Amino acid sequence: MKSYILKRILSLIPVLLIVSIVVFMIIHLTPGDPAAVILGPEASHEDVKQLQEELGLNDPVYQQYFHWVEGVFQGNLGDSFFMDKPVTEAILEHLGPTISLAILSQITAILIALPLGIMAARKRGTATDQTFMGLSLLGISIPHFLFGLFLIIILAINLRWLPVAGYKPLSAGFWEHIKYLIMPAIALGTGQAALIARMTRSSMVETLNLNFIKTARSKGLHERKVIYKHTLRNAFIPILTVIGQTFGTLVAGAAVTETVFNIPGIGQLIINSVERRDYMVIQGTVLMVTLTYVLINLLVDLLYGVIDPRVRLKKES
Amino acid sequence: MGDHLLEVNNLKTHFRTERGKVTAVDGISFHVDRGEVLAIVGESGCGKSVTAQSILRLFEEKGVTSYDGEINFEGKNLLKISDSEMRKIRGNDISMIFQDPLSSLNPVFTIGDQIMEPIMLHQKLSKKEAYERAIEMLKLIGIPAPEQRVHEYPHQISGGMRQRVMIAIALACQPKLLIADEPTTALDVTIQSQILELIDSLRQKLDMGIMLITHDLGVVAQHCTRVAVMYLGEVVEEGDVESLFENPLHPYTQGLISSIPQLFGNRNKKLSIIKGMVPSLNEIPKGCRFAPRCPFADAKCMNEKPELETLDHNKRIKCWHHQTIKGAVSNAT
Repeated sequence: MKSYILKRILSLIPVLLIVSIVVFMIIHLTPGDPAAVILGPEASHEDVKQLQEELGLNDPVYQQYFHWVEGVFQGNLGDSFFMDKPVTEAILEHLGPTISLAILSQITAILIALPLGIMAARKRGTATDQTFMGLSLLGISIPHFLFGLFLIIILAINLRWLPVAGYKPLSAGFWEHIKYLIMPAIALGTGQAALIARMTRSSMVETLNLNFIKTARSKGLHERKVIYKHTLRNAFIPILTVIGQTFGTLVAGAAVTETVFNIPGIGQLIINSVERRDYMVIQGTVLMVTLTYVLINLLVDLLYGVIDPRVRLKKES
Repeated sequence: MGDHLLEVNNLKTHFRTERGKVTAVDGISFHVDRGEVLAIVGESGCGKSVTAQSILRLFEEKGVTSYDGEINFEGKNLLKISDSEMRKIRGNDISMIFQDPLSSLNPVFTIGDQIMEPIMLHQKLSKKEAYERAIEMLKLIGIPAPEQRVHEYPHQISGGMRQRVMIAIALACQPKLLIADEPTTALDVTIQSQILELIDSLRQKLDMGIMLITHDLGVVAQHCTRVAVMYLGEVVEEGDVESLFENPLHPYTQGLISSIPQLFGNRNKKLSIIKGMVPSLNEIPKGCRFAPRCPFADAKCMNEKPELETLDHNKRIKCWHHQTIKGAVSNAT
């Protein structure tokens, strides 16, 4: 297992190198002179010149890159011109809501998806199976924000159970915090649940046809044990992959849903920064989001090893 | 009759498929006694494995599989008992080993876990006692360094070892009946004989009945007491091993025996084959099922179904012309 972990971590280095180059190039690949764009059309030639100097835009590109990477390692992603604060600080402010929402949505998704997917697999070919899979198609097809709007109409406006929109940090109390996130979490979670449920079903169906399931049944095990112990664990790798992917998407910020529910998360930050051409913030958030993706995938890879001994023991045997 | 360990009477197994109902096993009867080895022989697709899995009701998926007839095991009709009673028999009184040892073990659990599972389930032993039993079982089936092996995973051991582990799982609760579904087909010839020797010695030790499903007549001749030959979901001939090999009555059995390659004797002699293909279960011949491929078939065979007749010495045969074609093989060779 140790060599497996080490190998996985080492394999991240080239990925991160490429990511850093691409993210760094954002500022140079977008059309127009960054300094001029930042200052707007009214700015004088001298001001633009001065900003170019300040940003180091006159240095050779590779020097700019190394300078930037150096900053990244020190946690310095530059400053936002529009918000007048360091990018790191801006990201950290918006990270909390997004992570809370992502976790809650993912829990919702898993709680819906696994039981439905397993049930559909056990009853494959029957009306139950078709109903569940039809529902999941609906879940994939309906845009999250639209479902969110329906939820607002029903739960917030008609029944008045939950606040329409907004956000309170965890420091305001657990229930206060959760209260605002329930509807967006359901809106996002059901969509993700549909994907996870479909993968659960197909992976379970495939595993149920394998010979060792027959062995498990021939031992006299209860069907529950055959399903949850022998089948699910073997079927779990593709399911875990989808869970990892959907979680990555959630952390990247569900921009539209965050807008609908007015949650000050990463999604909102990205949208606002793109509108304002706040290059430093765009760079910083994109880097943060890719990094999270990469780390989630690393975690998923490591969990493969926990679930399946063939993954972790490959080299040693 | 009635005091056999396992007695199958007129068993039919139907599957509902997209192309309609298919009867994979159509009215077969046989029995297995304690301490004896019954071979079930036939080509692929003749219903051998379906028969085996029907005995443990492993197909049970509501609305897809249905059974008729009786499977009597120690006075209980296995087709009538509840699911929970069936589970108490599986792995405890009747065990099964499967064809492909590479895929029959769960890849994510250790060998020890998989052997301990039925022991803990049926014999209500503690984890520690079950662990000791597992080690004992591994010793019994001749796996070296069992204390080390119990902690290994299936992919870390060879195919022959895995089939030994499968046997250990199957015999962990000392079943009265072992169903072995082509246990050696996927293995090397040398490993094959080791595995069969092992099963044989354990049979004597535990006095269990064995139902051995195979298409290898060499295995039958060496290891079995009685044989039932199956063709297209039916038993066409049944008898003691010696009489069946020396004096096969059914043209299909004759065909099977004469298609075994001979190591000695006339090397220029062509290996005889059975003409044609096994028809699909959707287009079963109207009369005798073997008639379209049978060299002796006439109009009667094509139109009327023969019954399984009982002859002397516990021999049973399903053929209209077994009297006339008797000895045709011995004259021909």
